[in-house]
Amino acid sequence: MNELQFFIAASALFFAIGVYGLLSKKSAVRILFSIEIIINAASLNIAAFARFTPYNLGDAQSVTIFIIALAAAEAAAGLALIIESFRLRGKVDVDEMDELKG
Amino acid sequence: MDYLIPIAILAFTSLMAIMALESRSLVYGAISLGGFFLGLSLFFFYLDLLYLAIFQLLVYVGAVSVLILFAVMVIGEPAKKVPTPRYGGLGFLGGLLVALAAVFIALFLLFSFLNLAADTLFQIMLYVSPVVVLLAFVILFIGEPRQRSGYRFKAFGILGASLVFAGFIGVISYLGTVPSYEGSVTFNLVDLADSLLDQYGLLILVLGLLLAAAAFGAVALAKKEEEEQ
Repeated sequence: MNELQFFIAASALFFAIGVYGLLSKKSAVRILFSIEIIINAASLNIAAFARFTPYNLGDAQSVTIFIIALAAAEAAAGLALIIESFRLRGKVDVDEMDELKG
Repeated sequence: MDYLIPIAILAFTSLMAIMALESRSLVYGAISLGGFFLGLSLFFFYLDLLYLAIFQLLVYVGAVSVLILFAVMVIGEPAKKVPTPRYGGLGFLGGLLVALAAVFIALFLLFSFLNLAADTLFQIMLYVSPVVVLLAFVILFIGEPRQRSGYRFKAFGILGASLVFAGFIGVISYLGTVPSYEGSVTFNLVDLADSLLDQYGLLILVLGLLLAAAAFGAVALAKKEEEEQ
């Protein structure tokens, strides 16, 4: 296993932990945690490929910075949605958010 | 390569990620998520991507985790306490067995597709795993009491996660022929500035607009509507 593979395996592990949280958790806050973990796994993957391939480091860092900014926006909007839902229901259980069901 | 430092960072980061999802209290979960972000920035430091590491430290550890902590404190702890099911431990064991077996089977399928050598230990794992799967499903879906418990979801989650992980590991083992460029990389801020402001300048503007829209949307959503009261 070379160094590139080690980092891809690490990001795969984080991605799998995030998938576990998405599939098994019922609280909307924990699901948001899982999404953050998955996004960070993706950015680690891009950074590892940038470091261990002989190309321009600037481009890869730009892409990762875009990912971080997008994830920050997503966290803000998601938390606002969760707080609004908490205000409506008093809890954040995603199993009970079924008002859009036909 | 000296694997000691990255393995230590990996252990810390994955422990924090699991604790963020599994800790009883949401507040401790949010703090552990901050630890996960910190571990990722340590990874970036290790990879010599200094600017990225500092950016991660500022945005995630500084801003996002504090925002999440604040929201978690507004929401408070869930009040319900689910009684422990009778076969709870067995259910969890079943989930673990399913996960192990899924990993074995996925690896075997992948290795046989790629015509790689499967040694004896691997074949033993293959023959044992269907029995394990059967046993685990019996424990999970028949042995459990009728009340709805979280263990079934947990087992489902572990199954999905281990399938994803096995798939990735298979791809990595296939990637074994790709050389990893181990030479030293000089970090150059001018490269980054060129790339950010010249090549992706328009994208930066669009991203700023998106961030502004997200901030306005978040404020509009979370604003208390006092007119209705």
